[in-house]
Amino acid sequence: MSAAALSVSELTGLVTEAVAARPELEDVLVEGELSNLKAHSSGHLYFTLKDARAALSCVCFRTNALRVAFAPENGMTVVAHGSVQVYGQQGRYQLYVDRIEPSGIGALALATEQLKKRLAGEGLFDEVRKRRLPLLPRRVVVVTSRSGAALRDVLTVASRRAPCVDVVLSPATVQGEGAADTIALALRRAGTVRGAEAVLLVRGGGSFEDLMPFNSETVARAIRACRLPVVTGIGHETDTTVADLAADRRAATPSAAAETVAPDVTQLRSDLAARWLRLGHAVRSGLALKRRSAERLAARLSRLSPGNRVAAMRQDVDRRSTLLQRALLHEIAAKRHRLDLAVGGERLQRAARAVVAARSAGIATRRARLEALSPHRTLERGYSITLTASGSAVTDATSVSPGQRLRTLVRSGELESDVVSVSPAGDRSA
Amino acid sequence: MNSESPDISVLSYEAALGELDALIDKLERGSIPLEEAISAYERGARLAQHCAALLDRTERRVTQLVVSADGSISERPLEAPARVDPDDVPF
Repeated sequence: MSAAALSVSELTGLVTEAVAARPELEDVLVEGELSNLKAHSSGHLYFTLKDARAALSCVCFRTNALRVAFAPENGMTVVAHGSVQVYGQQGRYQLYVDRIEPSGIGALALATEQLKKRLAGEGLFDEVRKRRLPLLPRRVVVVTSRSGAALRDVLTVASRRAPCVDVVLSPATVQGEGAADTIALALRRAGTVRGAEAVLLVRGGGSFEDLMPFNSETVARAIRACRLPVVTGIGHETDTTVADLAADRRAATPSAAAETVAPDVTQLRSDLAARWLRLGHAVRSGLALKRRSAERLAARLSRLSPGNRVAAMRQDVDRRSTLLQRALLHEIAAKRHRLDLAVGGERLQRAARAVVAARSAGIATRRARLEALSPHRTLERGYSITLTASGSAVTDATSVSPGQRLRTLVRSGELESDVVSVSPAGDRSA
Repeated sequence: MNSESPDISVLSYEAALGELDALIDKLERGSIPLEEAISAYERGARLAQHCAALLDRTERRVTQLVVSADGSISERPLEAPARVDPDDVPF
């Protein structure tokens, strides 16, 4: 029996030969669930593929592992391609994997979903990061291909809606190898354009693979790093790329993106006209308000003044008013001149109205000041003023009747009293 | 005329409009001195004019960034401005 015994190495050699004799094992596709996944520091991937009844050891060496577009995870169902070989040192056979793809969904689609999840987890798409778009930018930078339909769409919309907005193209390659890097570079350059207030990142529709540069981490980070708010308009309505999520505003198409920064100028014009009217109205009504409150004070003044002081005070008011009018007219004429220079002759009427209102307001203000002073001085000298409940001054004894309540203002404070009896003027000496 | 306020000609449309709104609010609330009301009106009028001028700009420029051999970036007019074929207009 011992004569027939093979060494372990010899037996393993036989199995190796038997396996090598089956060419179909050099080029197999196998589907199974990923488990025991280990990413070694060398860059190699080790894992087991299994189904309900069997398990298969797999290894994917670094050079192949680098080409795997998505991040493999335990529990995923995948399709692996490679060759089956015997690994003699450990007495087992293994699948040497050169390609691995998720089942059901394409590797690129899965990679995109994984990137979205990762960047979202990092907070890159957070609402608080989104910057506001200017109402009417003077200049807009468009990052896209020089020859694409997207640029033409943007220019068409801009000239139709807002012919006052400059458009600056920052050219990029929007498809294929290296496109993501050129887009990132074009976005960086966009940030340096003098006077620019927003960036449009646009591209016409295409296949999922065509849009891959817009699903790259490079572009997403370049968008967030851009100095200016970025609006995306990529592909069709239904495609939401990583770039769309990273952008400050997402539009469905290049034309829609252009509309976000090229507002309807006709609308802005009418909004501006409305403000212009409000401005004129506000300044006039503000001054009219001052005038009315001053007039009310002046009216109260004349009611309160003791009869023998009124004439003198009126004269005083008139004299001061005249001086004041002259001074104000002079001042306002100077202002009007300045105003005309600043805003042009057509505003003359408005300025004239302001002059009228201002003059009344100025006089009234001084009247109010007089009112505060004159009765007070009278009271200082020991006079008092008696008022009815309605606030009118009592100057004629017969205008009140016994039992009526009166208020009397003296130098410091006021008294409240009830009328006991009334004596007409002729009785006073008795 | 107001040395504290920024030069109107460099203001963006939005900044000018924002300041105009603030002035209108101030005037509508009343209770500001006459002198101030007139200054506010004056500046408001100039802000409105600036906004109108921005809207009325007609000399729109379409340019592209060009990188020269030494790496410096400049703007050149976009040559052969994109021709618009009516059949291609997406709306």
